[in-house]
Amino acid sequence: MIQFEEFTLANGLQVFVHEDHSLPMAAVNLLYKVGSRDEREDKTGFAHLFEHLMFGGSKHIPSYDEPLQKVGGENNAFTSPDITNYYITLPSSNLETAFWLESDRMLSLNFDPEVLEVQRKVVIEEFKQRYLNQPYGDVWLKLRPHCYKVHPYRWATIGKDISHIEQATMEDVQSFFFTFYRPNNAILVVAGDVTLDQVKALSEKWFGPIEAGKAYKRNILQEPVQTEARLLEVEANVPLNAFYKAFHMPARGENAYYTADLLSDLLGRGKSSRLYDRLVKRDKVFNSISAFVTGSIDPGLLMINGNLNEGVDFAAAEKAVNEILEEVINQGIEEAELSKVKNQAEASLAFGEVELLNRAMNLAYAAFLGNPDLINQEADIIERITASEIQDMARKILVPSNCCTMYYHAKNK
Amino acid sequence: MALDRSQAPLSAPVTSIDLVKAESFILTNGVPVHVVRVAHQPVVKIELILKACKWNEPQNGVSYFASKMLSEGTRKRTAAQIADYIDGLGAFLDISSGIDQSSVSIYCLTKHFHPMVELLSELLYDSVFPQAELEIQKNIKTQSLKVDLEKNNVVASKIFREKLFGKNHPYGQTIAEKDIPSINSPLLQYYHQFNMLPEIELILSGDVPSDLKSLQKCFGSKSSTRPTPPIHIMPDPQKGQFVEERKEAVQSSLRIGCRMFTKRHPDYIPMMIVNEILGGYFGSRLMKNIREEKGFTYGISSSVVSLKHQGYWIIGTDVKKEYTQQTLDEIYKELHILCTVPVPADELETVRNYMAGSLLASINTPFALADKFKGVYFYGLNYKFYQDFLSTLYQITPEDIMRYSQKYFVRENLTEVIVGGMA
Repeated sequence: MIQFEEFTLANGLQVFVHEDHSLPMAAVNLLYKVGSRDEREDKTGFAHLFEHLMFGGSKHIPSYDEPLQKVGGENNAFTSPDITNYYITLPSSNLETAFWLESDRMLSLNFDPEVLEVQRKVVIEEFKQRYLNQPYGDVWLKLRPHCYKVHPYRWATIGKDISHIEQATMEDVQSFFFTFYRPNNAILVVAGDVTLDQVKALSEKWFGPIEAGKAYKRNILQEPVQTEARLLEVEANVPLNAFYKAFHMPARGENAYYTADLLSDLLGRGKSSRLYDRLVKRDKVFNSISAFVTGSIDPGLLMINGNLNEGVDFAAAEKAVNEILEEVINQGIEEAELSKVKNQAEASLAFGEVELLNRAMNLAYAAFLGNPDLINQEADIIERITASEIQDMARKILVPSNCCTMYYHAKNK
Repeated sequence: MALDRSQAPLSAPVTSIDLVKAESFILTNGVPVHVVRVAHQPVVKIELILKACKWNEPQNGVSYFASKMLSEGTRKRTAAQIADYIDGLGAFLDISSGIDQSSVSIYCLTKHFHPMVELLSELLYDSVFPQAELEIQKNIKTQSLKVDLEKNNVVASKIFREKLFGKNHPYGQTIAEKDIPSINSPLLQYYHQFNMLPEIELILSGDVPSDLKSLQKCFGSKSSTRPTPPIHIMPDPQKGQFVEERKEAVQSSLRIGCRMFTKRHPDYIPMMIVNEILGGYFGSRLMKNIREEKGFTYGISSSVVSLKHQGYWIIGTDVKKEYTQQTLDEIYKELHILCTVPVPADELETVRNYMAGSLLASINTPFALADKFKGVYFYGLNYKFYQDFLSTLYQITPEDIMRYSQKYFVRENLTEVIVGGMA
């Protein structure tokens, strides 16, 4: 059970406070409701480039990192298709420094052209390091446009092409900032060795004076229902053939999301899962295989991903996977299997609450979904899922017409 | 009064740290048990430490496969039954085979503590190393090594350690595809009997139950003879530059460093601080210069690493290929500055407060507290190390930092590995 209090400032900033006085530490998590799904098709990668710029100095403070390091704090951030999330941990005695820094960069960045030039280069190197200079690094660059034809999830957060990053202008930066980085488009969570009154006072003092922005109306084209199986074959300089299947599934905010999540667990979470036990251990078709869900705000994907053993061809691998999917569809699942995946989910939730920062992030994310209490309700939602609901979900989504397959061929050397 | 946003709020440095310490006792057969009890969430980690590791394996790969195989079949259960049992309770098993020791950990809800202790004992004492399961593991490892060889950063680290410690020394040796075919079940069983069973220790952390009688039953009755630890001769390090060209690479992976010392050396703590300034945190000189000013890389860092018998210092980064030489020049420039110019007071204050804050942040979970214990205990040190760290942090002077830099950052002693290319 994660206890929390909440209040909203006049400018629309939502604030959540979770007290935990076991260590003299505080976690501050600031979630901005903007991700790569909010980008234009000809300016992809921008939300993430912007995340880098947020560390390049704000209106009154030339450097973000240094003053925080000076009070013993650490910070980082990440960008996803749905959100951009900034977080700090620091000694609770220095909590105000976090408010000072975060509020100034929400007030306004310094929009220094040199910062843009350098961070553009850094992001291009990040693109290369993570996506081009790694075996299988470009998988999601290929898969996204294969699975999504209309929705902006069709490009990766890093961007669809390096050229978009190269072409970003300071004008783009400013308009992005004043559209999305406003108090009424953000959620602040302060957790740890803090009190509600203290957080109220600090929030009013530092964030209160920031003007609200124009309410942002999101207008994203939703992905139409897929009606035909899709197959993409690519080739790259990798040692092993790799196999991918993506099935469209319910959005993160729906109860059905959890049913699909449990379905992915029983298919491919851990060594006792159906795919691993049968295809790695028994039939030796795959060298590794797993299943997981993307968990996005708009309808996401249930993924199956494995590396083929040498001497196994894609047709045989695909047939083997399909047999297992059909078994679930036709014969359903056993009670023991259901209780296994529920126990796994229960343990994951418990371990997910061990770290203070995780609790802060989870709370911010639940608030973003529109229901902060979700962090304490998830266990019950999962507990109530039945074997027949999972079978129904399998019948609905694990079908060829809902599936995008990718064969990632190893180039013969 | 208007808010002055250009002024930083008042702050206070972290001067003392209250660490939850491990309490230790021994089972009747002498097996040590260490307990870090912090019960905020109903979860627990049960970790079994084995002295079986790279250091005492008879041939390359044996300790890796022997530890991996602990979950692949016992006298009572098949590999599939073991996986079913662990997953069925929602527990996680993590096996890691190391250079100086290995560990088998189970993370579980506290309500499953006793069955998981029993299982861990079964994995240790009743493992049978089935040949068929071993073949699967050998195949999986062979394939994953192939993938690793495509990763420039993995290859660069591997070459660096070979140059530093020698290809035949456990610290310089890594498992290769050619080592795998000759691994077989009898070899592992022999190793299990003589190297895995003796000298085990247990570390429990989290919401550990007060009734620990099951430990005595599961781990306290067997005794084994201690093997004589092998002696390995460490050849002189190979210094200078080593380049592995990779035409298709868009970036170069760089590793630069030299042998240093273990945590027990009196210069270890000061060098942690010197290294922090150089490349240990996001605001370090290497990050500022090579990422934040020049944009040559997504990241660059340096660290002081202590193994049990020796240690080393290493700088690592992946940079745009055409900037490889410039990056090297800038790295040597930063080393030279540390050796010749005293660190400004302001920068030193930042590093002090940052490192003290990081230490505080690094004890934020029961499992992290157990790591803090392991980080001293297995090096023959005690918790005083962390107090020493804090006092050195606040006492070290810019002159000291210059002196330590001059002593250890000697260009002629460095080994430089580049995987990718110079242009």
